[in-house]
Amino acid sequence: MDGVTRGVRPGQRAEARRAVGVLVGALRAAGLTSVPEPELFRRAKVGGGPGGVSGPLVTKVEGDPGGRLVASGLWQRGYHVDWTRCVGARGEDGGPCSRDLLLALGWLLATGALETMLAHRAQQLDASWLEPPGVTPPNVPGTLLDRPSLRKLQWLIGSLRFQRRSLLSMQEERSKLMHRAYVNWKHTEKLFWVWMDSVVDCHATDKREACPVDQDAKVSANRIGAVCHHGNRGLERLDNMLLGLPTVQDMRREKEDPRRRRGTERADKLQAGGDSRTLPHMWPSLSRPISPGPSPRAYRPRLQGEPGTQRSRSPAQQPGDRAAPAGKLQASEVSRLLLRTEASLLERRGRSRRANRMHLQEMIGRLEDLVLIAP
Amino acid sequence: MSIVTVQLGQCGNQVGQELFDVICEDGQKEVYQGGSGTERFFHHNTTGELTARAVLIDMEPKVINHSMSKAAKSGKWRYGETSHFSQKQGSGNNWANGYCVHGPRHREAMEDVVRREVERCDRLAGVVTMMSVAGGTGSGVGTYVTQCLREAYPHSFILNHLTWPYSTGEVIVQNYNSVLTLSHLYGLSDAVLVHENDAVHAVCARLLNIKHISFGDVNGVIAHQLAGILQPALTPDSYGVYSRNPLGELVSSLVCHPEYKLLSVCSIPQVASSSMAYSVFSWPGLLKHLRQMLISNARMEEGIDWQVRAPPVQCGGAESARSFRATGFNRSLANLLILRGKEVFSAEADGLQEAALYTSWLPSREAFSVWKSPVSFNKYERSATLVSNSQTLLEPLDNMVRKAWNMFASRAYIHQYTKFGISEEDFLDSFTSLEQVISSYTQLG
Amino acid sequence: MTQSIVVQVGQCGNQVGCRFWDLALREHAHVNKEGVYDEALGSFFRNVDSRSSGAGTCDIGGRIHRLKARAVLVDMEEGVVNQIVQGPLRDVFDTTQLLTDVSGSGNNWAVGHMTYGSAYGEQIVEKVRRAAEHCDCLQCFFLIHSMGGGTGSGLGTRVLGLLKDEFPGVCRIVTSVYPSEEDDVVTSPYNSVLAMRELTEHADCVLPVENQSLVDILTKIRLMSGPRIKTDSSLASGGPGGRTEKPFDSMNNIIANLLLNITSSARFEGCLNMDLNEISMNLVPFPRLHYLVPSLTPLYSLADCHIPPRRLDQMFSDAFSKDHQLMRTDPRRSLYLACALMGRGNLQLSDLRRNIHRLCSVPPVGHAHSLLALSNNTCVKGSFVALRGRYTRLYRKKEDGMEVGLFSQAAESLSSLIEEYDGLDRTSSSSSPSLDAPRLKMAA
Repeated sequence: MDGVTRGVRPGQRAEARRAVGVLVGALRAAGLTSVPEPELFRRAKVGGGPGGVSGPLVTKVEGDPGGRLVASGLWQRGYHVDWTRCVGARGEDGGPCSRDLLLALGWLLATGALETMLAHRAQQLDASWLEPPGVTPPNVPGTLLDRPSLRKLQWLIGSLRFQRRSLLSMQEERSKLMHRAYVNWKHTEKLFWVWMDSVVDCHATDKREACPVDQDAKVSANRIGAVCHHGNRGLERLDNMLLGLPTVQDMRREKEDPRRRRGTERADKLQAGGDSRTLPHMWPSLSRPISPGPSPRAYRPRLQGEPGTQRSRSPAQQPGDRAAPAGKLQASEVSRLLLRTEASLLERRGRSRRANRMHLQEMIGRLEDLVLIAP
Repeated sequence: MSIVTVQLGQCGNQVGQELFDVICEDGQKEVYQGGSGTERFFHHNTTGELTARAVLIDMEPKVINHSMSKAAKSGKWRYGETSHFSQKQGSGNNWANGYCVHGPRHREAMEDVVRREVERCDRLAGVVTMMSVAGGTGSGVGTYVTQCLREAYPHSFILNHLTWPYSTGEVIVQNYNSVLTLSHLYGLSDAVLVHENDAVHAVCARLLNIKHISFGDVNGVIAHQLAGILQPALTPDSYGVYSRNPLGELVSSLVCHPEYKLLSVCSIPQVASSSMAYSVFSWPGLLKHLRQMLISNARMEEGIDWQVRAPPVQCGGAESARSFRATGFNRSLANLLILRGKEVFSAEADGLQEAALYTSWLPSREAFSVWKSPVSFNKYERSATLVSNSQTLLEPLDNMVRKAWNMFASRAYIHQYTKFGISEEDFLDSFTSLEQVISSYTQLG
Repeated sequence: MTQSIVVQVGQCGNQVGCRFWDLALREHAHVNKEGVYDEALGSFFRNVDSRSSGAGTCDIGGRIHRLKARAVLVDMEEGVVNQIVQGPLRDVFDTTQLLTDVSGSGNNWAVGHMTYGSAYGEQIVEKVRRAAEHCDCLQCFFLIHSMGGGTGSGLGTRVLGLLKDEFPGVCRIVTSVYPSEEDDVVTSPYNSVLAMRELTEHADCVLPVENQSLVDILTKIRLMSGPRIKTDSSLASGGPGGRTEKPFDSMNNIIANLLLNITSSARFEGCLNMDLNEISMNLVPFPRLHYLVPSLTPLYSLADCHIPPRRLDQMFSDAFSKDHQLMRTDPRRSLYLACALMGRGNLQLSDLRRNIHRLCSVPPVGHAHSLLALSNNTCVKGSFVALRGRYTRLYRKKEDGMEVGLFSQAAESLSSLIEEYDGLDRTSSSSSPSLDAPRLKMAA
């Protein structure tokens, strides 16, 4: 087997390992709770390697609800792979092997899956502190309340303040971590793609061993290599591989009533056509309408920009399409009421304080001749 | 999520060092999931040593040097090489000197040290300041630093831990310094957690049987109780994951009302190591004692007045609050119970959740919270710590204000303060604030 | 670590100061076995290496080369200072630290204060400034002088005013030795009253010591122990120049012990830190009433080891008794405005909890522990009233040529001081001790 095409140079190996490590960090920051260790990625490159170590990569990714990165990512983009068949080493029985999983991951990353996840995460963080608080505030203005209710009200206001602060700091931390992880990823991304190329090479070599070389793929690879700054000359091969996978639509069609199939096909075409107008500019290799997923271009620059803007709104959504649920509106009304009540309470407290202060001043004036020093 | 500790003055720097000792010792067990125990209070420096997330501030170097070398000698943890700020000359027991002179003069340098420590944290859970109220540096500079922290970190939780002096005979101007400190902190801090030297001294003498009580012994008890609060625990909302935001959880459950910010602590059991072998503690026993300690305002499990009972629920209101004060009943606004040790999930704390213990306006399910951890704390198989926002501190606070007011009535020592820029008017403002606090706690009903 | 400078003026001031330096050196020698110049030593001594160039002051932590007292010695005659610089302490002082004249002040406050004050004021300030420049953080001046003579009383209080003007932020603690009723200096009441006004106006605190109380203490010791005096004790250490003991030496040693104890917590580490400026902060509730009556225990066993040492608990009551006070008035009948206890030695927090303010872990040489009480007690008024009486009697026979204005101002100042103490006594007797000032009552 050819060592040069099969793997990377020893010097690059460390870099690749680092790049994979950074990617793992970024995936974790994006909210995936159990991302496999970097080492598993490396082993997955050789299609599982001795003892079928590819298993953990799949099960880890698949087994965790937050970690169905590849499966759900592909699903969203219209593909389905039954990764549960990918338990053995090199995808026996015609199923996908761990390297396929890796390639799929690479493809997803190239289509901007990471950015989508980060944006989604930021949106979640935003939403988390807009949730309506779980209290039923008194519906009478402060001045009409009796003393115990006022005290209770003040307690509730304080409680809300603390809650808000906790959430703010939580959000701050996550955004900070996310930002850091993403910036790290951006710095090392190139190394990752170089490594990914070597994975693709592995894949191609193995395929060559099994079947004749695909001339088209070779040609297009050269073309991409000249254009793409990532050096991901194998990206088209990835596309090709994915095109060989059954699409979600195919599966759906199989299940659906044949009478509705025609209409669905039309809709798919329309949707895909819409995407194809935005994609080629940045991702020439994706010029073929393959995915109904959201455009990566929209949020890529946002995430690299200042954190404040990325948090404020989900890039995938337009400002107009964010209809606030009834609960949130109510929360803002409640908070207005609370603030108004609190202001009147504070005013009252200030008045009583000033009165007490004057009283105290008068008292001290009358105590001129007293000498009392505590023992 | 991490807590940055700011130790101020002689007392703060001594208590802080003891606290880290206890936390480090306890945290060595490495049983808290996710390492939240050590990450909360320590980081690893460039050579991998466990380093406290602490800032040491004093206006003289002696105590800081001592605390730093004591920590280094422990071999387990240390203070950061550059995490301290000291000057050559103390504040001379004068709050005004600390607050008006030393504080502003060294603001930038002190803020820098704190900022460095804060920036080391991925997420700042909040700041705990530790100081005494009696002297000049802890109280005066401490108040000033708290003010700066509030400005610099408006969304962070700030807990002020205060050591109250012996009621007699530490520093003659201690009551002035205390009044000025408390009245200022009340507007800045999220919660003011108090340890009284008198109460802690009694624990040392009667529970721990220490013959010759030193400041080290007193500080050791304070540190133990503080660590009992701050070590990781499972909160009701944390769904089996150790709470990552202890300060936020603490203040949210105890001090939401702006007029009630004073917290006291008591722990059970506290026994001398020599008698540990003969002591058996069960959860029902511990909690029964703790409940009676709370309602009878006993600071330790010895000498509890078992006659004191909670009043019937229906008689609420300020009037009944006052009459029940006379019977020795201590009413709570809110309580936080922290249980640590064996079979902790079977412990029933219903006795502390009775409505009769609390005010009429805050239902006991909101007023009472429990944190639990199956990890034994310190040397105790089972232990309970109660953080209480109750009338416990009313009497010592009232005495403090009374003595200071008496002195102020004769204008004694005022010239020492005016020469640094604290006027009689400032004193009157402070007295007004604290009389308001006293009145609020008195009327707790 | 902070440093202090001792300014000793006049015969008495220099003799007391000299005893202080002697005892301080012994104490440090007893504790400091390593011969390392530590912070404790640095508080009152410089370490000078004569071989090095420049100022030659060495840093903390190095070997002790030659210790120099942080002191300025002033006298308007040469006798006492000459004895000092020829005696065993000669190495501790440089000639640059000394300022003398030959003709003396003739027991006249005005000569010391006005004449010499104007002639030497600048030079004295210059010497103090040089000593201050050698300090890392100058905290306190200790002025030692007597009230009865001309130089200590007149020039001493002039120096006090100069220190206030030139170093306003540095605390001024004055040790003033008050003359006995039978003082052989006829003008001593004048000098004392004139000096009093300066002390009241310019000192942060004054530690008054009455000659007569020292005499009483020594008489008592002699009665208790017969003729033998413990030679190894700190109180009875050899007199200046190593000659046979002079009558004043024992008395001066008592005062030196007082200073030793006050400064001990500044010189050594304790479990409670002590700042010298905390003394005035805690003990001076009203700015003019800063006369702090010192009492010292153990006192009698300091001089004689055959007198059995007092138990710890006894020491506390001793500290509040007239017999251990360095003023002859009785504190128990008067009002305590404030009181500080400074303990030294193996005293535990629990032993002293209710009484002790400051602990210093290094005991005085030859003793396990000692206690110094500084009381701001209205009883001090008694001594001032007596002084005013002697002054008035003398003033009736006044001679011509006296500056009447100066005298009347001084007498007025003293009277108003006495009146302030009186006022405090009156209010305390008219009100029960359990009375509190009325508090603010808030509406529910």
